Amino acid sequence: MTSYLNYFGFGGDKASASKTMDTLPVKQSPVRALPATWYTSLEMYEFERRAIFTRRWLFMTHSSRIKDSGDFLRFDIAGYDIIINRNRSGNINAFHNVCRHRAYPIVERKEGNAKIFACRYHGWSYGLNGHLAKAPGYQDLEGYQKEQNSLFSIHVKVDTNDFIWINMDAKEIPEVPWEEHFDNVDKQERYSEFNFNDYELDHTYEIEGDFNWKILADNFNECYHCPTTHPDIPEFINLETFDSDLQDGHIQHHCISTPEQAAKGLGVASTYHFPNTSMTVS
Amino acid sequence: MVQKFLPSGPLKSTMNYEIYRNKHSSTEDFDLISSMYARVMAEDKVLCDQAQKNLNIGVFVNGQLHPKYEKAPLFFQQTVREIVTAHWKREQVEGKKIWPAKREVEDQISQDDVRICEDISCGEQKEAMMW
Repeated sequence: MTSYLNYFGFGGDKASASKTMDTLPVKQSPVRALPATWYTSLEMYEFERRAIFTRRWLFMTHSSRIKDSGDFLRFDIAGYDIIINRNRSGNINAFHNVCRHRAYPIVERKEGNAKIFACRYHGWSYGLNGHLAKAPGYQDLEGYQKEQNSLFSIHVKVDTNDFIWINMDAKEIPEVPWEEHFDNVDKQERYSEFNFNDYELDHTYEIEGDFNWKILADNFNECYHCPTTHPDIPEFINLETFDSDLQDGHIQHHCISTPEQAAKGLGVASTYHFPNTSMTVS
Repeated sequence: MVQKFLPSGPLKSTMNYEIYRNKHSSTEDFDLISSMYARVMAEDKVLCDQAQKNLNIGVFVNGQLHPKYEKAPLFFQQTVREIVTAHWKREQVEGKKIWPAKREVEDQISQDDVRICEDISCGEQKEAMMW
């Protein structure tokens, strides 16, 4: 085990340590994958919900999807029901979709525009910054403090290209800073030819499957399977030159387009952001 | 394209896609790329379905990955391994599960209620371990 830890340029258990892998050892050996139980066990999944999904920064979407004040999107990530919205002053917020009263979801649609979040259950309502605006009947109660009943907020980071990231750590400042794993991931040199604000959402779709999320990550992050399973890919990607740069919390996939591919504008820049999101631009 | 892998259980996940279009690209160019992605993702879905089925059976434990062609999955897995190991050690030291998103309760009655339930569950765990 030690040998390949060193091979990656790190060892021990420092999940936060900066790591890079520029050079390969002279003689390479095959490396054991994580065991199957890590892909099947309920306990491991629950463990990942606390160790990974609510601790690390998650790349979510582009802010052009919520242009106007009141626009919101709702996502389910590892069972966490969350809302990302734009407030009246144009800033982006994120909240857990749970009323502070009796835990009913304050938003039941997948997306939309709401000037106020009103809970359908007992009529509690919240402003776009998550502050409790109205709790019917509670104004007459002694010792009831509105301020202590704001929606549970989620940390938000908007990067240089206006992509939205969240971190669900309940602490006022997340234990893991965004920069620790994603410093400059939004300022890649290859992005200079793209203006992310020229892109508009065209459509979305989902594919559900009976698999662990990590098997999807394992699959997406290699193209060893491409020649045998994706007949179309050679038209788009020059597989001979495919390689990946690994650093901190991200994986930058790249290849050198053939002149024909370049002429068609098929140059692709793909980055996988740990744990669960890739962004590919062409 | 933004692709999110959204888990909803150990054996259930959703591949979520947001397809963006460059304002300056022609319909033809856009369709060429977006249809290619859709095909590739549908092909990937089948690969993951079938491989996962065999992981579930309990015969195969783990294979050997190629250090160059599969260096990114290895890096991904190593990151998972490190995070899990570090968090597990922390939980061992603190003697409890650490849920970063969980909100703390402040009043005494709630704290007592929470503790009673923790002790009850904890007792069950200890018994399970002695078994």
